[in-house]
Amino acid sequence: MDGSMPLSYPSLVVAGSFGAFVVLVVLLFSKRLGRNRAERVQAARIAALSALVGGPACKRPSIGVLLSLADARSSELMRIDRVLRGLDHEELAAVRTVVRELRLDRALKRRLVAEARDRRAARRATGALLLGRLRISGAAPVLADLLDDPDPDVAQAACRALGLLADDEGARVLITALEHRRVPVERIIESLLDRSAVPALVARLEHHGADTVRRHAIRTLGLIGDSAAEEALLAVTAVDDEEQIAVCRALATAGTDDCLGYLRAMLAHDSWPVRAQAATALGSLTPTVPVVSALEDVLSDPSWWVRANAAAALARLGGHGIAGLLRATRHPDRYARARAEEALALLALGGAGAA
Amino acid sequence: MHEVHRIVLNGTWLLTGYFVALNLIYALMSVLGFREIRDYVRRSPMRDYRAVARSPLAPPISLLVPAYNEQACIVQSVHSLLRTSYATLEVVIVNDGSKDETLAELIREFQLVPVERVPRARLVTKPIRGVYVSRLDPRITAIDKENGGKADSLNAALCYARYPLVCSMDSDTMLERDALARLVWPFQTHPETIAIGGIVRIANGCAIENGEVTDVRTPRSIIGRLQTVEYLRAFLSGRTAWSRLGMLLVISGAFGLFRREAVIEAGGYATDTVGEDAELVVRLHRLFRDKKVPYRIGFLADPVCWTESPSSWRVLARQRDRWQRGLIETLWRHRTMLFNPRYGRVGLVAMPYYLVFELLGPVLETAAMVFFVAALALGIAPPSLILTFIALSCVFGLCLSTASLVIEEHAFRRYRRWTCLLRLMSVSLVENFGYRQWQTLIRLRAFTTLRRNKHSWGAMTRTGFSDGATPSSPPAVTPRPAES
Repeated sequence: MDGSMPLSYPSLVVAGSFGAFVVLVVLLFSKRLGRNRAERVQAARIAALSALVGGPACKRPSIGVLLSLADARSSELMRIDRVLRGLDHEELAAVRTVVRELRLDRALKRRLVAEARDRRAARRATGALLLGRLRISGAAPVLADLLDDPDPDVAQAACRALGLLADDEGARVLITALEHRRVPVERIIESLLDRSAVPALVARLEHHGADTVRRHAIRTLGLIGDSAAEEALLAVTAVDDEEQIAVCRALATAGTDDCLGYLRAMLAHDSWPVRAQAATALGSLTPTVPVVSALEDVLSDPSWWVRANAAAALARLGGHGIAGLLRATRHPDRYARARAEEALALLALGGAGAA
Repeated sequence: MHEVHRIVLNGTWLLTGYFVALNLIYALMSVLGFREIRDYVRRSPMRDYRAVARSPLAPPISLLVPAYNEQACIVQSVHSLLRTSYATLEVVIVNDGSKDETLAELIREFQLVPVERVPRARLVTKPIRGVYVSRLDPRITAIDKENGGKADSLNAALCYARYPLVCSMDSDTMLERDALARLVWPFQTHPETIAIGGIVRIANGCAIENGEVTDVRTPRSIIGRLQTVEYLRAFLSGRTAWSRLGMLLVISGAFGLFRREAVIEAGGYATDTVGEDAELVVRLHRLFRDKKVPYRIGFLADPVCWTESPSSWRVLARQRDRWQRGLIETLWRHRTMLFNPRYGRVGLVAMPYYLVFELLGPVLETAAMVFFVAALALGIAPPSLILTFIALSCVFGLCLSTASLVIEEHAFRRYRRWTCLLRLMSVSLVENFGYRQWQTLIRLRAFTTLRRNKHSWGAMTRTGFSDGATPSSPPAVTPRPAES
């Protein structure tokens, strides 16, 4: 330590570092060169696959591809899944028809179930998604097992696949999953957004008692927006305010003019969030005189949110609704006037000027 | 004289040890960053981000955009944010008492009208002059308030934001289309997530069409390229690795998604510091560890936010000075967390690292220069050894920058031109000669400016992505139906 420091060790470290730098540079450029080549090859293969399974026009080649699925390698399955993901509903339906006509279900199921039980998460997810996309019959139990997968991405892929099955069995598994909460609720509801899920959801509403699953079922029915869904929503006997709000919110998206009486009754509810939600829901109905007058009435509601939602709903109704807003600018209640003027100002009809 | 010899020799060895430790940590960060990003890329095919973006059930997001004298770019930025493909979002712009035409530009472009709004949270801010809503697009809200700084503006935006997730933004940033869908994924998958940061990339030099980066290129100026390499290194190696270790202390103020309730519970952004973004993250760590509630703060290297980087040395110096001051203030404010087992790995590893290698880094690096010169003058170390040390420092720096480029190339490959890659490589070499030393001096100076410029932001000259970028005029906003 006294005197001069040895030179050999630092020099070796410099040489080592420089060697590491050279390795990194080689890695960088080889990656780019390799990637360029791989990308070209992959693009060509995906284009070919797209053409093959892409539509009914080329049914014969698509048979070849689908037959090859039964013993495809994992990397092939991943590419095919990517291609199928890019197809629209009709194209995908055509592919499923071919699968059924050729009675490929059993062979495909065997291969895809094996994939869905692979050690690697990415492969399990691919297997699950293909089971769903191709609507392989009897896939629901396998996918239900995958909902408990320790890998959250695999569980979510299985959830999506159950939705893609679009059958009653898949819907029931998903509704059960709402209770376990292993997959985010939003993912499960997104997967349930299909008319095929309505019977299972309505059946779930028949279970009485306050629980979150019921509220999720109500929300899902609202988002599906089917006439059967609306009928089920109007028949719900809400057990608490939260459920009542959920029903009003669901009717805001699914409701038709049949729910006018129900929503008018909700405008007189004790709880202001229910009234506010009912006002918003009325804004999605046909702008008839009863709808406008019901909303005009709640413009002087004691709650700011109810007044604001009613004004916004009137503005959304257009025509009669705007006439109602103009009338409300002369309302004796100053809060009602303020909300109406604001809504008119937002409609570019001038607040104070219009008043 | 013998005593001086001994001090210089021991000091030299000590600082050499510091240098070795620092570079070993950086190397470890690069490895961890690579592993984390590799895992992330492998998982991407399993996730359907497009479905998340389209879903009516995706958690709604409020984008908080503070603006002070931003008339040059505010309209373009808001247009860019509105084009983001995310089902439910609102843009809350805060005009922080601008002296230019920022508010007038917004009113003219988006036809803003004054409305009455009730704040949804109680955070102390400078007086609010008015709240505006757009006639053309109900997703736009503007708040006009007296000048109070960026943190004060973000607090005002937090008070008026409607949604449970809030994304802090800079007014000169552009989001990639699926950036929010990617950023929101961890919030849905891991409900204990309270904050996720995204990557900030430099837009200078890129081709921009309709507020969207269409062709990624390196900046034309050397200063822009130097920052590009720095950002890649900081985000792809540093933050990704800290995130993997669960010890992330910084989420960039330009792009971070937070759970609104958590931020409000923590008291919002601190208005008495210039590093309010890092300070908030440290405070969130502190709050949740004090409460002993499980939480998650992370970083994703894929959701991209493009920003304009400083294009003059003076502005860059101000920015770096501010960052260093922010770091000093944050560590001082939360000094009780340092080496405190109560705060787990954050208090025992992350904060000491920031203290020794980031805060004291410039002091120790300057001391190293002094000691090496003294060692040379006193004949303790031969010139060849000093030269070897400098070479080692350069090669190591080069290795770290190249490692970031390898991660970028492996995972994202944004710079598709060979020329871009070569430019970034060459800049990695050049930065060792002058730029790094200049940065050390700027960061050292922050210790002196700390008292003088207490909480001053310093002006950032916006050119509206002018460095080779090709912005096109934003399209007119089409009226949207009112939100139900």
